Amino acid sequence: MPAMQCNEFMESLDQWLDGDHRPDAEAHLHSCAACNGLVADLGKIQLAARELHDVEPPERVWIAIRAQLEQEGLIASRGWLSWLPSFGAAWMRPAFAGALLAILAAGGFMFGNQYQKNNIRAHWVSGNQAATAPIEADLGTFELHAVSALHEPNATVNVAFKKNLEIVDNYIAECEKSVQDDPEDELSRDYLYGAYQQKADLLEQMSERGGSHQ
Amino acid sequence: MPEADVIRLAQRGDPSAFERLYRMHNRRVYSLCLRMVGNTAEAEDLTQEAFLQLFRKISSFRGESAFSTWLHRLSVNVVLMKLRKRRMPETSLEEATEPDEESGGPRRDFGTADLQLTGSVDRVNLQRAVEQLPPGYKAIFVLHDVQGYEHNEIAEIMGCSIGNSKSQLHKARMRLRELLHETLRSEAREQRQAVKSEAAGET
Repeated sequence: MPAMQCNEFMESLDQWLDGDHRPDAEAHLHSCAACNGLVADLGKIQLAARELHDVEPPERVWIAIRAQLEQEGLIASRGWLSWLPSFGAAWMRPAFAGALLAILAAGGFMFGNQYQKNNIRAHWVSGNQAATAPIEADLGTFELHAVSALHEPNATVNVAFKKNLEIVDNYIAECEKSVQDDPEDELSRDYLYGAYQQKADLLEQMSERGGSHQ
Repeated sequence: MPEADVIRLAQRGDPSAFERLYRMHNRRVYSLCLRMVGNTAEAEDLTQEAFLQLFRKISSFRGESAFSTWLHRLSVNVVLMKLRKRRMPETSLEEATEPDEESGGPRRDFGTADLQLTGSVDRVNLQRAVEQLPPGYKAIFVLHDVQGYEHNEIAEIMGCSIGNSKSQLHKARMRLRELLHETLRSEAREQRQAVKSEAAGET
């Protein structure tokens, strides 16, 4: 049988790379440095390609997708919870997780306040997301109204509201510190945004309760 | 819960089913985008766009093909659209696969030292070389050699024949080899230059 030529080997190159090692192709490789070099190179490329492992996208990708789906009405909004990461997610930071669980345990502010949320979102989007003063000013004004609207300051529910407010404020302070420490960390900024949303929700409920007793 | 059930729930608008589908496939889709564009910010945008398209169209999914194939087809289209908008300079396919004039075999490089890539291929160099491939080659190389899809699956994802997938992969690999050789040559040139400069400094 005549020896295989380079052009014939090239035609069977893919089979060779897929592991189909015909004896005539093998004999050709022994006698041809160029084809031998080519096969060695392609083997190295294949090996390096297999080492390019899959990578996990950052959590902000899902947050953005969910926000868009909510905006388009493809999924129902979960209120302020929609801005928070899923509980039990492996990447959740312990300090934040603790604060969040404390807030959830305190409970009582699951209703939405679209006006305040939109206000916060507008500030968040228009600002550089590190300058939080306009958001804090908005919340400060809202807080004055909400607290003054509460009648019977010593009533059990009102005391619980104030306690919750304290927890949310602590949570905000913790998130702000995290953003100050690393202003480029998008996850910290997402948490801070979520914290502001929570406070807006809570203040709205306090106002509603105050209004209902007038 | 089996994927088919999650898909049915997502088709009914269940938010947790959307999230579950995202968690099941986000690594593959993001990695595909990342390998094709070589930039994390762009890969994030493309992943977002691919999943949004998926969720917008999920009610039309009838299960004729595997869900992951469907999602990959969407993702590849999103990335290819993006790459086409970038108007990358196309590399001549002939140049990458031009046979040796005399033997019809692989084109020989000058000097025996260049005949073969020395040592293992550095992943960073490979990623850079992949980025320089024309979009079609890039997609098939990433799907086959990086993500491990078979030619019949790639044909379905890319909407081409199996033969076409094989031929594009062959051309992609040959072009990659050439690009990696160029990298090695330029690194060697830089080293020689550095040695020369050092020697000139000593005298």
